[in-house]
Amino acid sequence: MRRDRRSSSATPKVLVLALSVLCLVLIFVSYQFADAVAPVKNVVGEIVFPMQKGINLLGSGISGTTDYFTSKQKLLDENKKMKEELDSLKYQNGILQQDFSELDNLRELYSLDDAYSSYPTKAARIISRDSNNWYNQFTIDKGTGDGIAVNMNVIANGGLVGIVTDAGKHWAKVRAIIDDKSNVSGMEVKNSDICNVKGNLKLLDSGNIILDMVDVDAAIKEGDTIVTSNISDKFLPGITIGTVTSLNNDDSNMTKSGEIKPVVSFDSLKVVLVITTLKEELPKEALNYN
Amino acid sequence: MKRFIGTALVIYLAFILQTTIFQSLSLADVSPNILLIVTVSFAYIRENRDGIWIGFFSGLLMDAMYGEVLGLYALILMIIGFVISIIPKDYFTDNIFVPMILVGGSDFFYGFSYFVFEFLLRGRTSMIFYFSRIVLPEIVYTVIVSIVLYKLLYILDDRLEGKEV
Repeated sequence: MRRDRRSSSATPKVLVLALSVLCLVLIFVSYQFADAVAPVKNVVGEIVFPMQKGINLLGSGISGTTDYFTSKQKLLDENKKMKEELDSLKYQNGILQQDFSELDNLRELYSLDDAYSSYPTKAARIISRDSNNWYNQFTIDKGTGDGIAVNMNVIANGGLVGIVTDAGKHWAKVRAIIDDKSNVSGMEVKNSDICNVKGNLKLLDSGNIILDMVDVDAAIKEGDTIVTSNISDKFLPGITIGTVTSLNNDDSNMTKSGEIKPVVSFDSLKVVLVITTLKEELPKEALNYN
Repeated sequence: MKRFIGTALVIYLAFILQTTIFQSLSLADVSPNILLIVTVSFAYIRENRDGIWIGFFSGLLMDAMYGEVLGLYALILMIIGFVISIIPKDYFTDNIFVPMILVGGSDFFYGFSYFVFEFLLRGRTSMIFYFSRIVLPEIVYTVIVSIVLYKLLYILDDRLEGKEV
């Protein structure tokens, strides 16, 4: 028969109380001194990382087979739509090519560096996702050993995916821009009107994210492309976030808010690129207005 | 000792599976809470305080990898493990319905506490939306998975127990 072999030690109630106090202390310590718990997180990451990497290959294999059974009609429709899109894109590309050569000439005239050209990147595979259903975070299989550092920007399909929030030796944690706690400063491409882009769990089904703090006089309208702004302190400027799908005046009539459809499709994300340049921090003197 | 290592391995495996395969198998963007099933099952099967420790360490693992602060998830799962382990078990533990109800109830408690600590405190007040879109689907999915998983854990626990004596 089963029986409690440690009946001589503390009773369950005392144990629970002690552990509760320990938890509260931990919450307080890790909230107050985030750096102190980083080594602990790193050790745990090293233990689970190799298994996650292996098993995840199996997992994506399974989801691959379920994708295989999506209906043929859906694929045909998609194909037709994509062909149409391709035609219009080809046309647009032609115009852009012309513009581009013109831009090159003008840049030479002004001797401007192409500010947003290509950032150095490093490809990484997503190995696991946040274990609960409330947040959108994932782990990638590259870490500080591969030159990844906290606050580096993560992109895929030509759009912003998120930011590195934690990095171990061989893994890094990324917070997606659709995460409920994500907050990115954005701007409209043409007029550089500043806005704010936030994730929200309530928009989970539409896949959109929130756009707010748009000045009521700003020229942002539906269909505009929003990129990361140059006033953001963690995000490099000029990375595409998405297109505005709706925009309405707020109750205060001082600002507008709406929704953005991100260019990245987060459901099918498997490989991402980490930009290995960090946004340079302003020197302290620059922030001192006295 | 075997029991200790066996249990630790189960927690480790459950965490790995939850963050990889079950994320690929998510339905309606919701995936089951495997570590909660492990905590509830062991707390229910075993007649000692193992449930408290299993809940505590499962939660701590989750916090360390994905939590903003250490200890929140550990606290929630530990309380679940404690409550399940103190309810009287005069009936047969291989009956599947009681653990199913316990898993459902625990997942509701987990969803509720998580909502309060992580969302309500940040000013996200639309409780009905979060419950109908996240908490309820998670409960349904978790309870369905627990039917299979409980049986497996029950057999496994018998094995670990048998070798121990």
